[in-house]
Amino acid sequence: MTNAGDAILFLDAPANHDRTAEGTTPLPLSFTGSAGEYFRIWIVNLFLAVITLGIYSAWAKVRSRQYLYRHTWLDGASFDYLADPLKILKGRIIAVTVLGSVVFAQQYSIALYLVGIAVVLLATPWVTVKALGFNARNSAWRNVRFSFHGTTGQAFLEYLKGLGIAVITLGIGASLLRWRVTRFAVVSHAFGKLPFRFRTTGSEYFAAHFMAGMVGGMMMPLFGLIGFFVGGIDTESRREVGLMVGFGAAYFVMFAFLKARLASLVWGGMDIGPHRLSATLTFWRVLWLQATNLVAIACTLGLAYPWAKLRYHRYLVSQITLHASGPLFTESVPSTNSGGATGDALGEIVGFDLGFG
Amino acid sequence: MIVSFEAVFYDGKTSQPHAVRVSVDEGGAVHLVGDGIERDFSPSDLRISPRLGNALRSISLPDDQKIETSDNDAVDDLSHRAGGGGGSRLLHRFEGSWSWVVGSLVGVLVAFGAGAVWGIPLGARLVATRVPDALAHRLSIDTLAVLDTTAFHPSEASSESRTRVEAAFRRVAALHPDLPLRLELRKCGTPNAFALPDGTVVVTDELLALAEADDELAAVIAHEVGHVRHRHGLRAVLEQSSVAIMVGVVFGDVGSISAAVASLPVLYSQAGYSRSHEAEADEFAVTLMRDAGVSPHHFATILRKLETAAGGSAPGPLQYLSTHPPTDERVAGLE
Repeated sequence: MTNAGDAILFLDAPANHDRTAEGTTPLPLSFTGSAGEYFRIWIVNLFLAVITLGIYSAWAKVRSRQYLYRHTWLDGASFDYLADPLKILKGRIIAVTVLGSVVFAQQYSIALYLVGIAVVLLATPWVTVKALGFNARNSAWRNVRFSFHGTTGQAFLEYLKGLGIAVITLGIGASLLRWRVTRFAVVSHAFGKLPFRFRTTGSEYFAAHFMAGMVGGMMMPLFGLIGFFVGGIDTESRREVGLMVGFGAAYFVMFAFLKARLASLVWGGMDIGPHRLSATLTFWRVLWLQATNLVAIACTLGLAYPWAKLRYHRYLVSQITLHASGPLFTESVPSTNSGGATGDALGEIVGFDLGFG
Repeated sequence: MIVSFEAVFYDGKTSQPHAVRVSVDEGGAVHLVGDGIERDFSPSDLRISPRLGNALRSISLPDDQKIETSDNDAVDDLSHRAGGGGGSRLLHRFEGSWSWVVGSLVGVLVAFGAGAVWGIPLGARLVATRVPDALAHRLSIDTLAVLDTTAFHPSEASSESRTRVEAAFRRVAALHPDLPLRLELRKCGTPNAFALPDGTVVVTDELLALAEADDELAAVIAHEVGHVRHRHGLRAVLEQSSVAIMVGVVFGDVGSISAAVASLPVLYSQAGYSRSHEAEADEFAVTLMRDAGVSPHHFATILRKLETAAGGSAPGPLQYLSTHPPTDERVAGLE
């Protein structure tokens, strides 16, 4: 939808779009990046990161993220990522030092290592808040930045309540922990003066996990048996390998199911001010994308990674629609807090997944 | 007026877009007109974002004002006139040039290949030889304690087979008084022997039952002493964590699904390093056996028996995930 000159097309939007019965205008998100261009940017920046012994990796991260943001369009305007690479570099140095000390402690004494792990786990709410905050403040659309007003204390309470439910229900309610943290993450965001709300309920989350469990429960014995017999009738070790591959495949299918469902629930459950988002990712499409991405990355020793990443991003974006209840207008709020990127870097290394992917 | 392009102006207070025409004069001064807006900016007011392919380009102005345009060439020109932007243009040229792309590709592959094949093993060897003995001992005690509570049971070997293995152990250990060697027996369900970094050699009851000749036991112990001598335990830990870090750097922001993919190079390289350690320990064992007067064919015999007990060798492609070289290859090396 976007090429030269398109940048000014949106001036008469959204009034010209078709209005639906409820009086909202559907504005689909779209992605215009190309895999070839993204690969070139990725490989050149990776090379620069290697020859600078990792220092340039902070600039590389900003550039690759900017590529995704600036090619993601809503209502004729693209998103932008504005993080300062120097801040990211500082954050990465601190994060690597902290985690390096924990790993070193592991070599030295189990007790010290356990203390380190406990500290890192206790720091999870802090890392969540800092990472989300850094990302929100540095994301913008039409020159208005997103913001994040959640506090570590609130995050800590959400984790505590969620963990409590998970423990009392013997793990059955663990999906509610995930839901609480995701809800907290969403409702703590704002775009300019428009607050975010989250319509997705805990029971929808629970149902998604329950269904995924059912899918896994059916696939595990089936795929396991297939693997067991295909693996070989002759030797025991081959059968074991076959069984493991079968279980792996079943897990993969279950994971794709959950990913599709959660992404739909998270993105489709957001309200931004008076506007509503909807998202419908289908299981088969996500399974196909994930499976082909896995094969491509494995066969190219990782070189297909940018292609795979861009492919999934393109699909995710194409499934999200914003239902505007009027012109997409908001005032920007002067940024008060310009915190560092340590939490963002820690979150990246430890690996958070709130289901936004 | 030298350059002129269409753009969208934002006033920094709201998300309201204003269509404007931007004109740039000789010295890089900027004039905006349109939609009830008329503003002038000097070159020093402009912060031009680096070019990124043909993505929408933004120019930040004072007071959070901003213009966005898709006319990248005009902005390049403006950035040139306003002085600066050289680095940005250079980077864009690199990213657009196939020779740079191919060069980077080769450079990255060579850097990671060389790092994985030579750099990491060399670094691990250098660090491993400098790890204090006290630390190696501590690590070994913890490891054995964990194995004892999870996989191992106390040995149920008869006093007769105990005497056999202890004699074989003394024969081999006597040739290496420089190493703090120690023998431990355990029961774990499969015939196996392994070495801990501090010189502890663990032999399982099942291996004792499998080895009919005493020389077969001596051969296996000689191989394990090779692991101790070359500090393979510590080197494996160092190599594995280095690969994990390297993979983490490349696929920095992987989602959880790609994490499974990212673990593939870790698995492959671990197996590769392990196979080279095994070969090194075999080589060491042959020399040691010669000194101890043990014929290498005993080693070949016990390797064959171990392979049979494990249910045959792994099928073709899975060999790359195997932590030991194929038994045929090892036996051929011995003969």
